[in-house]
Amino acid sequence: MSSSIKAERVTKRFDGNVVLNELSLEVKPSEIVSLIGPSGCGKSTLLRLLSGLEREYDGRLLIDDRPVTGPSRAVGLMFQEPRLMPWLTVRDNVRFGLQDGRPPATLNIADRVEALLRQVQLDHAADHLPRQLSGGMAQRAALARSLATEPGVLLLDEPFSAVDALTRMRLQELLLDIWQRTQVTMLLVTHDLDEALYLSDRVIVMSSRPAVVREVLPVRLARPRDRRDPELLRLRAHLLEALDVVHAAESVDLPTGTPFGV
Amino acid sequence: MAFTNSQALAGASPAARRTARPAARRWLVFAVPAGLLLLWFLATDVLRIFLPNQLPSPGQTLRTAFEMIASGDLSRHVGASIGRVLLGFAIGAAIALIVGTLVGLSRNIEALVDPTLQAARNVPSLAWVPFLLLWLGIDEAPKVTLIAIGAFFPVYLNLVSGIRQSDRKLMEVGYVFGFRNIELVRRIILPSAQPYLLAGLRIGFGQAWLFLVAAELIASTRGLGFMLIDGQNSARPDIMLVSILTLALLGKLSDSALRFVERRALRWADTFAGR
Repeated sequence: MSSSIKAERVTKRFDGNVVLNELSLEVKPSEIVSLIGPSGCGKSTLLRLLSGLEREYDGRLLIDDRPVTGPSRAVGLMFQEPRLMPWLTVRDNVRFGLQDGRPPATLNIADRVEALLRQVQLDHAADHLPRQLSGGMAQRAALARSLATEPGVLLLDEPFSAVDALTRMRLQELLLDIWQRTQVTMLLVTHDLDEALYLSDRVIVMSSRPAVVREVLPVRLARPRDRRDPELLRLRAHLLEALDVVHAAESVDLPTGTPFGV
Repeated sequence: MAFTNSQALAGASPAARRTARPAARRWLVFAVPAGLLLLWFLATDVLRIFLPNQLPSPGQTLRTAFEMIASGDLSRHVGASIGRVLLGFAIGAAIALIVGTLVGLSRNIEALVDPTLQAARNVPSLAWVPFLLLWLGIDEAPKVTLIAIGAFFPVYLNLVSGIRQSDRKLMEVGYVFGFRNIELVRRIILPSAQPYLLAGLRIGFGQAWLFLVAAELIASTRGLGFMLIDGQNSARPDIMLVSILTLALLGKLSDSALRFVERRALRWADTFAGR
């Protein structure tokens, strides 16, 4: 269950303001691709379009070569905040999208929910209410919920930006663990360069509004990766440059491969 | 990769903290009623500020209450009143649930009915009585209708506010799963309006008791409101007091019952519970 994503010259306007300008990109099945770029550059808008939350755009958006017309259970979306229903237990939140005999109807729902809870290591907290969860636990519950419908595409909108650094790394491991099992295609919006480099096959750098693809940086390293890999640090320095955080002239003579190389 | 169980302890059971009531506060609850009882006793039996035909003493009132219990009069009146309140409240709340949901969801329906309802809300309970009697006769129908009117407005107003404050971000979770109208209402909008709805039901139940008396003041032969009028007509302030105290007691009991339901239903809410 992994789908492809294709955007062809997608333009999106809000009240006449162009947010995305003829944006094209492609994600192959089972790929993990990260989108980075300045705040408000339209990365989230692209995810919202793909998930069907925003409609009306010019160009073509395809998931598995079928045009996106609205929300689909084949597309999972994880938000920056957990957005759990505060009145439901963790278990009921995970099964939130799994009811009324809708697909996937192949499995026993209760079994599927328990398996998901185990997968995100929340089986011990299944009867907790959201207000009893830490930020990391809440995001894991949200992750399980978005995986419940067995989507072929998982869209992640800065999913770990609100948790502490250590929890974030654990969540990244969890995400890779899930990817290894399900091969779900992932499109990730993030501001965390290390996260993008640690997880992705390719990092797409976008310009500020209206968003266009500025650069596509492939990361040719097998997963799981070593966070201290000198190649990652080299790519990180390159990304900082691409984002205009450091100027090319400054970074040229910095030794690559040291943690302080930026 | 391991998530330690210590993470699960974040925010250990605030529910337990919330329901615990310090022993001292348990007594605090009785302080004001006991003080009032003492004042009542002082003003009548001891200092005789009021004559017995103005304000009967606690002892006299209690005797009358026991007599009425023994004769079965009190339970007959209480039974009649409770029946009317429950029926009127159920009807009023059910209509408010439907109308409130529709108005909460649709600005068009709101524009259509809300101004009229807001105007009707400000009509005093007693002002309805003559017309209800004209239209519905003097039987149970006008009384139950008046109580339903009283219960309707708090439930309606609170439900509309509750629906209007439901979190757009949670709604989006439903959209992503492809939920449409009824499913969104049932699974996201109504649950998130629950705190408002329950507050509305509590206030509505209180209003039902208030409107009950207005309904029973006129053309009735049973009920606590009738007891009040009967006591007035037969110059028996003790009967009037028994009626008023019974009304207060029933109102308090029903509110406590609803508060219990409310607390159980809202265990999920992450809110300030007072110090």
